[in-house]
Amino acid sequence: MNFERWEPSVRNGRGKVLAWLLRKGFDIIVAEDAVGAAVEAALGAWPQNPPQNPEAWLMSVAYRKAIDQTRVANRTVSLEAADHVFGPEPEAEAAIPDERLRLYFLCTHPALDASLQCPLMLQLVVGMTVEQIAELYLVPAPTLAQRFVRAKRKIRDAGILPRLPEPSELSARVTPVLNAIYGLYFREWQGTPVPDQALELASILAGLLPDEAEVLGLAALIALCDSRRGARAGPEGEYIPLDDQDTVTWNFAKIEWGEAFLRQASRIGPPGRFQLEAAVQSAHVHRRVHGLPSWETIVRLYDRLLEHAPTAGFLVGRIAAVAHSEGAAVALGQLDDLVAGLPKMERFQPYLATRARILLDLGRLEAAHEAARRAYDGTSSPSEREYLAKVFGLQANGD
Amino acid sequence: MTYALAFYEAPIDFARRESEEAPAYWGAWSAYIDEMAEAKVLVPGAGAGLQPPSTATAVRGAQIQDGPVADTREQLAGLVLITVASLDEAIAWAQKAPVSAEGAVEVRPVLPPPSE
Repeated sequence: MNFERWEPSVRNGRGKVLAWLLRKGFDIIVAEDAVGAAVEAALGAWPQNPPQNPEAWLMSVAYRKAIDQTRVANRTVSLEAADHVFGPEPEAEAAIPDERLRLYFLCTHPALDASLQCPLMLQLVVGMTVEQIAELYLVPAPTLAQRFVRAKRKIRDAGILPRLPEPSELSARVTPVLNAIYGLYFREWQGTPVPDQALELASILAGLLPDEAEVLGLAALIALCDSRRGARAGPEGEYIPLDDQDTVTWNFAKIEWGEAFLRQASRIGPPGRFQLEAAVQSAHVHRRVHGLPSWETIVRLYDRLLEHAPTAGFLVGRIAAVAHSEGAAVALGQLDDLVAGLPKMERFQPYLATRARILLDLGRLEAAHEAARRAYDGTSSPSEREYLAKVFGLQANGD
Repeated sequence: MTYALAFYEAPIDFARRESEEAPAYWGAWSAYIDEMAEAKVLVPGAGAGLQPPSTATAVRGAQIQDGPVADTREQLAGLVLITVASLDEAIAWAQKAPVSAEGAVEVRPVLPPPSE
């Protein structure tokens, strides 16, 4: 069956229709079943009778299914009564108001289990299956399915409505959404083979909230990182660091996309954490392609980023940039200062890998070898292990 | 929907009822209950403040024991039912309750009436 042609309409449509049904007042379990049934009906009907407006088709079929199920559930509700409660069936050609923003905020309602927020977004906004999400989060599918059922029952039974936050609470409510998408992207970056879900969630959100600088910043960040995700591995799966990547293998459409989000964000206000991290990514990309900006500029961007998010990763990233701008000796001094203040850095794998690299540049082979060995033990990525083994002459399988 | 707001207080809060702060303590609760009544969200006659947990008796079948059921620091201090449109509104009312920083409010929807 030739369904590929309809895939974008279905993917976009299902989230929109679901959000619209919830807004109409259907409960989440009924609404989700109805959308699922409409998608299935579309699979059967569309190859023979292609709809003029696929989203409107899904909307009107899902609406009828939702009415039917509601009537079955409350045996007393007549069709007229249902129409009275939920409004008349939509016109076949009616445009669906995009209510997906409400879905994001429903999924990240503080009364729901925080660890389930992003998985719920993937299911309800993107329409991924439980099996796909379970694979992404490395949990058994039946466990995840059970937790979804529990969360949706809570949404229904506790009366959590798909409400838009007031303007005054928008920033506070949007931050968990952004953090959840950021966390999802980190998983994708680490190599889970389900591409573009985080980018899709971030781009939809950027379209829905085009005046929120940090939303745009996150979309920019993910697009820019994603532009070179594939370039990190060679034909044999071997790890290739940024400075050795062939820029021809980068996805320049995504770079353009990310840059456009970043420009849009910079017009709104002073940059926040995601926008600054996107700016660091953008600077890395431009430096490789055009030789500019300088490493000094990149260090300064890290400084500003660290004011917002003093994480171990950015502290180490900054010092790796210092190694280029001020030399390995200065960078080593800063690494020593860093670990003196934060002893747990000793176990942070990127710290060890950066330290090994800097010691190697200083010609301190024995110390470099030792740091590399600990970096090797600290990663489970086979390609990164192989890379460390090759550069530092470690014995690949020795411990 | 109708929600139960269950107010939990810490020993220090129960102690306030007997201290010189008692008028302020009871005044804050009356004002809160009055505000819910005026907003027409309070289900009349469906709630109560409770005597302190030292007056409680736990009953488990034949076993009768002095003290409350749950051996926790925060103890149930009172309960009201309110009818509002959504959990968000119920949470907003819960946040107005004069429980101290030591206390907490549990918000739970009540069961719907049994259907035939």
